Amino acid sequence: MTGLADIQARFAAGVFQGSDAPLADLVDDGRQAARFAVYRNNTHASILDVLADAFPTLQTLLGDRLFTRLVTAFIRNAPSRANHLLDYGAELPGFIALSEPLADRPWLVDVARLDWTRNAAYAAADATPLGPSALQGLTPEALMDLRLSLIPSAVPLASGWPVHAIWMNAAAFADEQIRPRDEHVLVARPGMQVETLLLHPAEHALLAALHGCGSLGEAAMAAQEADPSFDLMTAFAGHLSGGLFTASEP
Amino acid sequence: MKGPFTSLPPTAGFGLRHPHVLDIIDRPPAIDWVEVHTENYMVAGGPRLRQLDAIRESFALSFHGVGLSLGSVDEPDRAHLKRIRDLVRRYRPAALSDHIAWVRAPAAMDGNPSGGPSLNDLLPLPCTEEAVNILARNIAIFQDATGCQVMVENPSMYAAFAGAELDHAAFVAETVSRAGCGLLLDVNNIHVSAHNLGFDAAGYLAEMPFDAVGEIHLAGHAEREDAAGTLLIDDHGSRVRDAVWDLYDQAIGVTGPVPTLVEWDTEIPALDVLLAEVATAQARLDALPGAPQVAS
Repeated sequence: MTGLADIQARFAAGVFQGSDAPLADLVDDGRQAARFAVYRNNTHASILDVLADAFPTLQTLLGDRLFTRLVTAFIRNAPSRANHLLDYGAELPGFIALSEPLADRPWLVDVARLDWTRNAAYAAADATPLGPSALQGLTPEALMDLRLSLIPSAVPLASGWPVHAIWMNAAAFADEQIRPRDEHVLVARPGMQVETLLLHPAEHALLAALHGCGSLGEAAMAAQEADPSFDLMTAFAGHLSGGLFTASEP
Repeated sequence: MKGPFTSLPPTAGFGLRHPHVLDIIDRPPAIDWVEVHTENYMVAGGPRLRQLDAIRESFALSFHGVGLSLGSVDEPDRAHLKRIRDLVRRYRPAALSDHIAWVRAPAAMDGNPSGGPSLNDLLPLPCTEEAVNILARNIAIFQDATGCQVMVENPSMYAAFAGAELDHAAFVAETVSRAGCGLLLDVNNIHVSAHNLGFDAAGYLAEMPFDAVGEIHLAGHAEREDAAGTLLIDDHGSRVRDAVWDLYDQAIGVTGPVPTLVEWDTEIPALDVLLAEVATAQARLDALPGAPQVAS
């Protein structure tokens, strides 16, 4: 009899690496391999389900067969090391970026990042948004020095690929050679619905600067640099009334 | 100290899964309690917690964990225990449970500082003294960290490890006794394991520590044929089979009325179908001698 630690290590190696070592630990009734296959299948099928839920756009682009191969490689190389899978998948965009077989589809990294950001926004912390009245009565100087935070679910994304268009209709892009085109996207959950908004490049510059803890003045400057003709005040007021901002942590 | 291990009412409820959440908030069915997987609510915010707040207004809650990995050689993950404790404080569930199983491999396996990899499945243990001791240690940590008397569920198994020092039933009974915890008695798991491993289900059931039973689980299972015969798969994807109802009757004949849960996790049916299965369980509880008579 060997110890439980050894048994569990061999069992896990059998599931992740496909080794036959755990079969020797099981009662020898001639069916050990079929019995063990149930466990190996349970692990892969259940994690595949979780990642398919989190990465619906990626799955549509790749198709079921290729998505399954990607997930199998991901599980083997970067298994979850937590007791729940709610955070599992955060490293998948980075894994895709280093994947040799997917190197000819560089847009997949940003598509996966958008899927994951949406998934994370659903479960992100809630926050009390600032209402438009919160900024009333501030002098222009005070307004420019103001540091606003985005609500915890909000992430501005910039991509050299048309990720918003792909997300809107992934099936139309499956098996296509996608041409590069800059797109900027905001993912946020101001209420109970996750929103995925296409942003003007200057609007992205504004929100990205605020997300990076810049002052409103710095953010406005970044937006002006991106596009001097952009109507900054209207965009800012729209996001303010949409509940995108919260008071900055002191 | 023994029991009561649960403050759930001794009636039938069901395992609440995502497709039915909004249904039961809008039109709460006439049941007393529902069970949720604790891990599904380990989120910082958003709709899930809001929904659980609403569900708690109408139903008592049972928190059933699938991730603590009580059978791991390593001690339970402290961050995970803290998340369970925080949920217990917020929602005050009437019952708290997990499984006689392991989910995460040993940290020593590859020396990763984040601990061993998770297999995301409830995996079997060898029936050894070492495994009983590890379970008892980890269940004690679980109870201390949460301040709750917890229940652990007997496993469903497809394979057995060589070198057993106890039989399957004695392994469960000894674990519960040594840990001083409750037993979440899953009669479908008994049927599935008995078929797959070739032991007598009724005999196993008779060996269970009935005074520790705080809840019973019912579920369906599937049959998978291969060259060497049939394996029963504990997929919670169909109605409860007759043989499992027979084990249920045998169990409640000993325990009397006990909180009973119908689990349906794959091929999830319409809520009506699930509630009909709950009503069948409730009818069997109502038919017990001494059960309160339903006014006609």
